[in-house]
Amino acid sequence: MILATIMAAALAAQASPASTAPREKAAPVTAPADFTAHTAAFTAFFDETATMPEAERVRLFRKRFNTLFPGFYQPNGRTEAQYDAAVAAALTGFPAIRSKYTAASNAFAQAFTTGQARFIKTFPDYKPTCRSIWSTRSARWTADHAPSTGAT
Amino acid sequence: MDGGSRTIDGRNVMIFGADVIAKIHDETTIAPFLDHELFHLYHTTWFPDCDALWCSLWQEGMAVYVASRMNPGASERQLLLDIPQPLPAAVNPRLGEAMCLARAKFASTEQADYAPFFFGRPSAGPFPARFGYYLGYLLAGKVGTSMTLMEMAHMPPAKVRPLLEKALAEYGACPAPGKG
Repeated sequence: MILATIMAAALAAQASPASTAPREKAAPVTAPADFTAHTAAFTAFFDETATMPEAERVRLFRKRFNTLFPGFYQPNGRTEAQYDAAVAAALTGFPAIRSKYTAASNAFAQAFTTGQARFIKTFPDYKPTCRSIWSTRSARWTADHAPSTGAT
Repeated sequence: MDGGSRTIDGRNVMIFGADVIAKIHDETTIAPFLDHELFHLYHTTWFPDCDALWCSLWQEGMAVYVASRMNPGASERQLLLDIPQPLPAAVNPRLGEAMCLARAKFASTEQADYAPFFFGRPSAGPFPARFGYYLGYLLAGKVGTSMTLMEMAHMPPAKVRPLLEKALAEYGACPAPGKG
């Protein structure tokens, strides 16, 4: 899922302790969760390093994006070599999806804002706080929860 | 991954993969997709993650069901029930068999049992990859005939499990273990 990993737009929401206790009296949401997009940074990186040798490009990508979002752009169970290869493949494959990627990126922030507003209408007690995730479950879920389109 | 969540450096985040969104979503699917993902976030307040298959049937089924209810008339495509192939068409002719498989693996926590139901990669099993989303959606729909979305979302695991077992049983008897 390296393409997704590389080109992730990340929503960072305030953490809250895991709890099974009902929160039925929670206050309605008054503001959307924080939203951070890394898509433009990726596109800029791609253009800026277009003539760079692949190994150097991969190394620079990992350095730069690990600074941008520490802890996320990492092998996560793969070997270093496997992850490097996946980064290289993602960079190589980017031109083929660039147009749709850019369009999706440009539209997403607004879609997310609208989506949260819609969701609150159905679930007024929704709070934009994230859960604590069980590690085994989260590993499985984040890796395979979503439809695979060959990008894994 | 088009959407998911992780805990990174102690911080909980939702992640949206722009590349996969660009590939499999469009202006007609993005709203149901966000409803689905936001529901996962919301749902864990009452239904924490657990490893048994039935937990995933409920969590994923509910997310698809909520997306369908929030987007009346949503198509299979909009609910992502068409990846990797139209799931209803593939599963419906053997729906009873599929539900029996879910009953047989109901309490399993083995990834090998979970994978054919929910992973996107090709499955060697009798049903298409991701067919658990469709089963979960149908089961949530059965439970949803007698309660509101909010009531469904607020149910803790101890309440969900017997309702899910009852909904599964409504699809008919299953072969005894070892005779299937």
